[in-house]
Amino acid sequence: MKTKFYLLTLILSLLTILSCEETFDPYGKFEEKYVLNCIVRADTNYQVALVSKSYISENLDPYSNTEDKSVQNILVRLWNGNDNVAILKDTIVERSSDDKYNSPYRIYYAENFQPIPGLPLEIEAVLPDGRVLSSATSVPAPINFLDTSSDTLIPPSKGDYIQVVWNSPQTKPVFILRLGIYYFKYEGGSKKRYIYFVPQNYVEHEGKFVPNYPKPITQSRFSFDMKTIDKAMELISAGESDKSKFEILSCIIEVIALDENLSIYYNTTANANNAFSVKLDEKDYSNIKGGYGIFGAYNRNYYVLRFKHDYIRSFGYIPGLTE
Amino acid sequence: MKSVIKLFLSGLLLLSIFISCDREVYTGFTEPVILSNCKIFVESNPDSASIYVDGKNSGFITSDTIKGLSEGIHYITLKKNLFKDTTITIELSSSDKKSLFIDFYNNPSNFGTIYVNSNPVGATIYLNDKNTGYLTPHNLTSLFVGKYKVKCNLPLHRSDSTIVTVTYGKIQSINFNLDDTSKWVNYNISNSELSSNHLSSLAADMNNVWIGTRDKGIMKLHGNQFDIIQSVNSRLKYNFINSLFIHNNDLYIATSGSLQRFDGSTWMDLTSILPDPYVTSIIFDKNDVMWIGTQKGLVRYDGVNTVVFDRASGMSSDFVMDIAVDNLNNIWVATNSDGINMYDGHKWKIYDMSNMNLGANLGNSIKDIACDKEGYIYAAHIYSIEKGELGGFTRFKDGTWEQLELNGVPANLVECIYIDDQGNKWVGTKGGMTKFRYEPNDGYFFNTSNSKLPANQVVDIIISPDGNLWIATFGGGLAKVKKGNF
Repeated sequence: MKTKFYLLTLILSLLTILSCEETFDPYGKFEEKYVLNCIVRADTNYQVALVSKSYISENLDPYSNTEDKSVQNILVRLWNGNDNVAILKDTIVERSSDDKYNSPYRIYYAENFQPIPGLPLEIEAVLPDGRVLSSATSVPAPINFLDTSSDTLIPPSKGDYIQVVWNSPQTKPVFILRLGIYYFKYEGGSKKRYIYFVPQNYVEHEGKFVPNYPKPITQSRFSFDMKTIDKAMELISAGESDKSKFEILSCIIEVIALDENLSIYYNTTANANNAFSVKLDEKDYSNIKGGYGIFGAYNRNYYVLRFKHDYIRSFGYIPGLTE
Repeated sequence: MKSVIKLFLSGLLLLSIFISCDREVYTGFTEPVILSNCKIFVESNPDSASIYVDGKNSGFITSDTIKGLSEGIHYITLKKNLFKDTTITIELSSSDKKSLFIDFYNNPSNFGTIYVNSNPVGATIYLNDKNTGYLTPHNLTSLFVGKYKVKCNLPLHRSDSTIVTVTYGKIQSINFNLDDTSKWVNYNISNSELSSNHLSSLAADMNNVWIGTRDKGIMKLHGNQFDIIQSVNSRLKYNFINSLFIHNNDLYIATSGSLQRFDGSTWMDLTSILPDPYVTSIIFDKNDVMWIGTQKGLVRYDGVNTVVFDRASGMSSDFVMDIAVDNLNNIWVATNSDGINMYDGHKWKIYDMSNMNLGANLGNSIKDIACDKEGYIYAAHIYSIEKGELGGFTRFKDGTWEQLELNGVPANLVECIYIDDQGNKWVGTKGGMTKFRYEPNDGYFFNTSNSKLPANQVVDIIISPDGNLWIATFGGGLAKVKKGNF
């Protein structure tokens, strides 16, 4: 009797242990999700949207997938206010031969949709199964440069930096800047146009000047140190002994204003300047309802600065425009 | 005691079995998938109305299917230009596919009114070319929205019409200022089929008036019907017409690159007989010999033989501007910059500032020349500030030239001289036109201020066989003054 009891106890103990055994799936239950990406440009009437879907990779390397996951037969619409609407058409774009995907891009596009700043901007994608991906934003106001506060000539009449100031009624704005020196170079009997993009500064590393380009900013002004512009002017003709081959035209600053969505996206992905902030990975940010992705808008404007002829000649170059 | 232990151990084991696998695993927030599977097919009469769903433009127009609609109540609004917006509430449940039809014409709100008035009143109103039976002023009511052609007819006035767009619930007012055509009738590119307002020359036969233009060929006006004759629809070689002349019911056409004859059906090209294709003028003398002015000489053509006169033949210039024939069948030639040449059949006599004995330097550039039955020769000298030439209007008889002033118009800006069968002189200038019988100050003048002359630059004048006066202007088109009113 005693033996039977201990035998029964052993069986029950074994059952207890075995009953909890289960397989563990690291992915969890896979749910197919859809991704809508669209950045609307206010400086053009051609807009593009991409729709794709999530997938499980055969192995543990997500980059091993070569199948294009873009989705077809989707009704994609953009609204600017309640009346201005565009139904995006779909088309395919060939990929480069070295692309890892083996099928062309499938994009949705609108050819005549230029949003008006101030009006709400919405996107909606209706999938064949009835799922709806949507998002909303507003177009950033146009960038208006303040001529009275901005320099117009390089070098400036006062100070050792050039400054460009603009106004922006947008709250929490984020701006991206690019400054380019436009010039001609005589090559083989003809002249070709080039642009040299000026960094915010140069960092000297092992005898070389490494450019450090401007990061997105939140202020409505930006300054370029004349030393940096001097260095950029020098580097335009690096290695060329005949400086008269270079005809310098002007300096153009391109300022892009991001909408609130893109501003937030930028802020979530930007490096924080303190040790306590946690940086989000880009894939963690989404503002698409019913799926994943980014919907945003930006506006763009250009500001032209002219060079003083004496300044151009001081490098041995030829002035290309009137002062 | 043993039984108690056994019971305790058994209970412990059973409890272990029940609770050993109890666990909680956090799988994160699962967003519910909401499907918008409802569809609605929307059509309308008329079609092509914009479909709005819940106040937003769907981007589709009728007839079409709106998909991706969620369950619940939706407001479908159809918007079509001119019509009143129509909104229908529709409730959709899971995977519904419904249809909706809206007939705009069933809505009495989609009517409008046209108020038609005219000056003077009493004109008959036509709607889409149908006589309404109403006279102005009148309200045309209960009109569906859309475009209507409204025309007003009043005897002895030019009919006028316009396209009126009727919008729902609105009154569109139109007022026609009907042009009094009892005396003057003006034709231009806006009110007729005239192809250009920039005219150059006129000619008339028993049935037609022929109108030359600077850029659009020739028009034949018979009755109220214009026929356009251009290089693209006929054998006319150039659309730049310098001069037209009717002789024996044939039309002779001088252009910037040709001389052609047109008998109403057949074209003949005479350019090959000329020393230069730029033809300025044509005339026939009393022996039916044709004289042709070109840039490189004057041509005499009797139908068989051609004789070219130029500097080498005794003329003062090769560039002929105009030709006239006097009572004695002498040929008078206006030249571009070397005065007036007269040919008596044997020799040339030249008149210019050196021998015309005028008090002022009117200049040797002669725009036009004409001869009357009383034996006078009239010439228009071109004003040129560069050459210091004053320009002017001169007359010659019995070996003497005299300078004349014109009543009400600038004598130094004469464009054309026309002498009618009664001996009236009609002089067109850049500042209107004047008419006189014997002396310039015994007549009267027309311009845009004191008459219905459509433009002040008068480039040609004729009286057609039916007695109407025709005036070609540069910029204002054509004017007809009916017989008995001039």
